[in-house]
Amino acid sequence: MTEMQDILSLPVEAVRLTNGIRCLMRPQAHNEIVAILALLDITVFDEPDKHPGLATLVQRSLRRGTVKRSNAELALALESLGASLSSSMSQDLALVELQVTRDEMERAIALMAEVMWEPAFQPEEIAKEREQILAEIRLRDDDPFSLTQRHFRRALYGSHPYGRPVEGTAESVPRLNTGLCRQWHRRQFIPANTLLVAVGNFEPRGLVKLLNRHFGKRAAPESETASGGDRLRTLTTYRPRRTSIVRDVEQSISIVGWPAPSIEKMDDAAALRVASAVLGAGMSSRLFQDLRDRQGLAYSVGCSFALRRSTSCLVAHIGTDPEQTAHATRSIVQAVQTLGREPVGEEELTRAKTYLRGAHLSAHQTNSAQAWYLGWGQLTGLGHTFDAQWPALIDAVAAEDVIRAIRRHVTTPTIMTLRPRQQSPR
Amino acid sequence: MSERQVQCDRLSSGLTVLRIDRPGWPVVTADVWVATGSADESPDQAGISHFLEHMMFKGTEHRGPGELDRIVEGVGGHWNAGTSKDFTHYYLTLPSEHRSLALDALSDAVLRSVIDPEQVERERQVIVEEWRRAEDNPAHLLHMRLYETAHAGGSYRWPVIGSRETIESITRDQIAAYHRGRYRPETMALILAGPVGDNGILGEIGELFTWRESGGEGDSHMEAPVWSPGGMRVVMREVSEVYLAVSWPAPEAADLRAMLALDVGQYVLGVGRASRLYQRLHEEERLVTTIHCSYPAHRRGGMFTVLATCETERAEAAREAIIREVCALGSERPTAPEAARARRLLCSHHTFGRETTSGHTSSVGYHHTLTGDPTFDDRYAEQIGKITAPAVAKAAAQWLSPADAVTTAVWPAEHACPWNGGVPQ
Repeated sequence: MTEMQDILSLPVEAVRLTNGIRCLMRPQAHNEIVAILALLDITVFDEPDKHPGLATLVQRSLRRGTVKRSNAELALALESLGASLSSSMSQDLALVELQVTRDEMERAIALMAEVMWEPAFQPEEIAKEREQILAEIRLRDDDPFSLTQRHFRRALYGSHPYGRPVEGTAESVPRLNTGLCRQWHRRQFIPANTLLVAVGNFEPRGLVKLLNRHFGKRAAPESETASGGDRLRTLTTYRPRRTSIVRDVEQSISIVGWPAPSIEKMDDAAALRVASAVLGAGMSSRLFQDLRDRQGLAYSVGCSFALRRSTSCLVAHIGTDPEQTAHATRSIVQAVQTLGREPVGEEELTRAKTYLRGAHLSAHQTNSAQAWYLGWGQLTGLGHTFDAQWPALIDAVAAEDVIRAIRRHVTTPTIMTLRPRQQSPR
Repeated sequence: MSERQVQCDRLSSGLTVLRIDRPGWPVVTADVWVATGSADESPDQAGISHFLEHMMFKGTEHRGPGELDRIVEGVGGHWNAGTSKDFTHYYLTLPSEHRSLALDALSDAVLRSVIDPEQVERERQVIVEEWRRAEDNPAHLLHMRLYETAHAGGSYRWPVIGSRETIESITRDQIAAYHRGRYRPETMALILAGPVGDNGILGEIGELFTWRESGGEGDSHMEAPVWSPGGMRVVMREVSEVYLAVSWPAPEAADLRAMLALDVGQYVLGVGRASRLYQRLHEEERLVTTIHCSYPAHRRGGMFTVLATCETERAEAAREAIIREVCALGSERPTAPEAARARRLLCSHHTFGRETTSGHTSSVGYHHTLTGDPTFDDRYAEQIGKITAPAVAKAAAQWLSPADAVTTAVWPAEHACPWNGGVPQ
């Protein structure tokens, strides 16, 4: 496994810009690509209760023009460099991501900083983005899986911020306005909340100069304080629900899940990640082998466990013939519960862990993915070295750890099922 | 921008091996491309290429069902496959030290699968579920229907997955005959990316990738597409907006210069936020909520399509505006900055797409399968760099005319549709 350790533990240089912005750099020259990510410690927990979706609107409006350039001019400037610049919000952080080839790095970095520090937030542009988000909310529900997933999250998390769509709702988005966006940007886009991560083909000292020139000019406000970790409140009362929604569809979808620990409880988190792999990662996993290969019930079946800053969730899904949904859902719940009773055999456990390590390694092939993993660890307080340590944590998981974690966290499941309006085919 | 990375070898069996050497890279991808897809099928066996693809993971002469999955995933690898109208490919990425295992597993699956009758019946149910899922997703549904609308004849009409009827009726023996006949060394290429520069690997490949006498049905049933000018089709579904596709016939891959010109034309019109369709229809006229272009250059008869979503009351205006803008590309030639942006963005996307080993083998495999030229992908950026604005305008004027436009839509069932029954009044 020497190569694996190599790519995960390549050197990282940590520096601070003149205004205090933290910066991680990993220079590597095997291709022409440079990825620069700005991870901002902004979460859905920071949004005012009245205004879900505000952080997403701000994030997406960044690209709608700056004090120097209109929306169209900005798009043309970026795309003429062949640069890809995206800006998005997730539940646990806000992200601005630049991908560019080395020859145009300098101009692209200037544009990235301009977008982050000097957005115009023109009322007509904010109005357009609001309309766009509302349209996407509608379109998202046209896809049966996304629709089911949205309802599932709501059922599992209730009024916890993870229970609402990060982009807001048809009710909340129209209430957002330019004033709110500007205020949010002023408070949240500060050096203390910002982490820059650069991976790719650059010379570190030259890059620091560039970053200082463009990102270092944002002065820290006098009373600036970074967002505190205590705001990431966990789900305190879990009420399992079993509900269904109907729709004009051919296939029924069932999503089953349980609340699970956050990154604070890393031992259980690693054990649940291994459990999710035994159950539903890859074609040799139990759910795939049983429900797809042996019973032919589904095309899409799987299980996942994603690390979250607050209450995570262990979740499995299946899309199947409406007549078979009840049976398939029961089988999934039983498969998960079995993991809490019977130890996973040595060979199967090793295979699941090796599969996860291979996937982790493969996921590090792009510069932007490496930057993401380094930054995620740093921003969440685990440290950028967490990325290199993760495989060892997975390796250390024993059969009894899986049993313990499943017993501790797998109680009554929340189940959301999408059913066809009529059982007869169209 | 020109990078010569692909090393091409032809083995004595006739198999083409293309290697992209990345010394020290932690993972390796092995990717087998077969130049056969749904466009090669006969109508009564629509979906057989895809059905066969599923059967490649269901047991071989020496390994029972699921055994290869356990072996591959047990060393940290993952594999997958994709079937299209023009090709089928099988790819596997795993830690580099297990390179030999990758070649063993892939050759075993692709050349020595047993296609067990019992497994065929079970997999049939899985494919029906895949079909249901595709029918339920409006974007996927639109994509399947637009080929049926645009073509009055020819074998690009039917969806890759086939129809519910053909999925139910294809037999085990038909699948096995298709496999023996169509998976021949001369129609296949093995693409490798990772630490694969040593020539010892060629011997290994030669021993693993072996063929018996064909004995199957080797001929393609491909029939050239017959365009259906002015065609229109609407499917009513429970959706929130109109999912709209407007399509034109476009150069096929053999028409290289025209294909490259419309690759650039596609970016001028509908890729990126600075593109014409995005700026004019999305930002200025506010007719659509999403819009972009797609141009697959098939082996026979490419298709140039604009895909958009919009509210029902704006659908007709959006359709007219799309036809207006697309057909204006021939007369309203791209400006120098427009052409430069399109070329540069296209080249960047090509570079970004090749960053992973599997992205790299896909890009090389796709271009090789379509053009027959192993170096085409390496020279892609260089060739795009030479496409001038007049060349784009010339190809557009030749191919993109209002009379040829074909409209396909998935329409919200609760709203009346003015297009039902043909061209709106």
